[in-house]
Amino acid sequence: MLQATDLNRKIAGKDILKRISLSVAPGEIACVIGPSGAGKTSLLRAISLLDRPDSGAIVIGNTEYCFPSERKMLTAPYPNLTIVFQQLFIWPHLTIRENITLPLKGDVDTRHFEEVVASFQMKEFLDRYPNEVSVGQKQRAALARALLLKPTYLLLDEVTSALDIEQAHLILSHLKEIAAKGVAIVLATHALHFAGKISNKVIFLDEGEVVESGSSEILTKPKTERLRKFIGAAEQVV
Amino acid sequence: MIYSVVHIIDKYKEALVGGLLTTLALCFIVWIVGLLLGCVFGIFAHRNKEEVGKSLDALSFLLSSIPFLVLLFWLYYPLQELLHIAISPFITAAFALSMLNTILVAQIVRTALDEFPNEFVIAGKVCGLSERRILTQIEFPIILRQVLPQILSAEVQILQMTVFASLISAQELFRVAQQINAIIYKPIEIYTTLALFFIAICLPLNLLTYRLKEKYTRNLSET
Repeated sequence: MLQATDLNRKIAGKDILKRISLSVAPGEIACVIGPSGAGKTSLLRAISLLDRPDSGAIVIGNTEYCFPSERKMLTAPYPNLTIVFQQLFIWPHLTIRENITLPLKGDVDTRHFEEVVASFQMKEFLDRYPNEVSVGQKQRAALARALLLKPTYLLLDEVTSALDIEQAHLILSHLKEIAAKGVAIVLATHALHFAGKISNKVIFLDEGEVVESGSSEILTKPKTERLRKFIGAAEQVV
Repeated sequence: MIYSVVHIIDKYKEALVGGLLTTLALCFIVWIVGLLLGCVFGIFAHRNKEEVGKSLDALSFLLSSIPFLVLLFWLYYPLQELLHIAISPFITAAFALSMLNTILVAQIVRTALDEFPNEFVIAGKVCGLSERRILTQIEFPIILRQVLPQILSAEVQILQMTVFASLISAQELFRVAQQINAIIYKPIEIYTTLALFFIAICLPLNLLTYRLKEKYTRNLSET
């Protein structure tokens, strides 16, 4: 189970996260939605322990991390928990193949590798350098790099933001299959249509706090005026 | 003219080779000192921005405001007069060029480290890579690829600046060429010979710089 309880974080006196709680069980997909600057990336960075919350607690599997904590964390949760960023950060000096296999420390599960490469249609550009492939191909590579580590908890920050509708569909349609294998996924996204289709839970954030959360039904029957307005605005754009 | 150039090279080969060896020895010392101290200074300047970083900036501003020839003459004549010491032209030139090279390399290294996107490290961390593997397999190779062409280019500039050492009587290649010209007065042939020597050394280095830049330099913001 991945669980966050009462997370708070301030930057320069401003509340970035306010009393945020969420839990995602293995096999579930939780979508974090909200306008730009709502705190989606901050939440993912806090859950992944890249940024320490000022207070609250995070449980990753059997390990609990309580904040504030002066102690240097002894057990990093990586790669059991891993995160794919919006900016991807594919290492530029390595080919795509090297990028996705470097973290495996030479211990490549060939069958799993072939499976991931095939499902993300990566074969044709595996031996190219990142500057020789498109943003969409890099996005698939970043996701493949994370999946080859066989994480139990996978955090995805706007991984479809730079993709066209077909490529976004390719990636998001795989997420259900990945979750079905027992991976807990937290996905920050703007793609409400996909969020509604694939998620077990939806969390709507605004100004650093959870305004509304529940099943994907809240996207069709929002209870709060703020979420209704957000969905309305998103539909107009689409 | 080609015959004359060949003739000059043949007749004065000992003097020219001697001058070339002095130039190369000067370069070798300046390159080694500059690269070692520049890397160390650059890393310290990156880690300690307030003290070392600002000192590096101050030194860079100061050195870039003084023409190299003035610095060289100042180190050779007034400074040694003031201190009542006599240091050979070769060592004085090596010291002045090393100082300049150290600052150049330090600035290149510091800038590369300052501009290195920390997210590459975070990407390694969340993939479960150890700090040692992140340093050796991600940080170091990326930074090396970014700085190598710039450092090579700086070293070629330093090589060309060794000709200034002739003005304080260091017996390097340019000085030897001047001495030969004083004997036979064939400036076109002699300075053509000198240019050929420098082309023979600098051209491969410049081509290597260009090749490395083409092959390895990446826009890190696009990855």
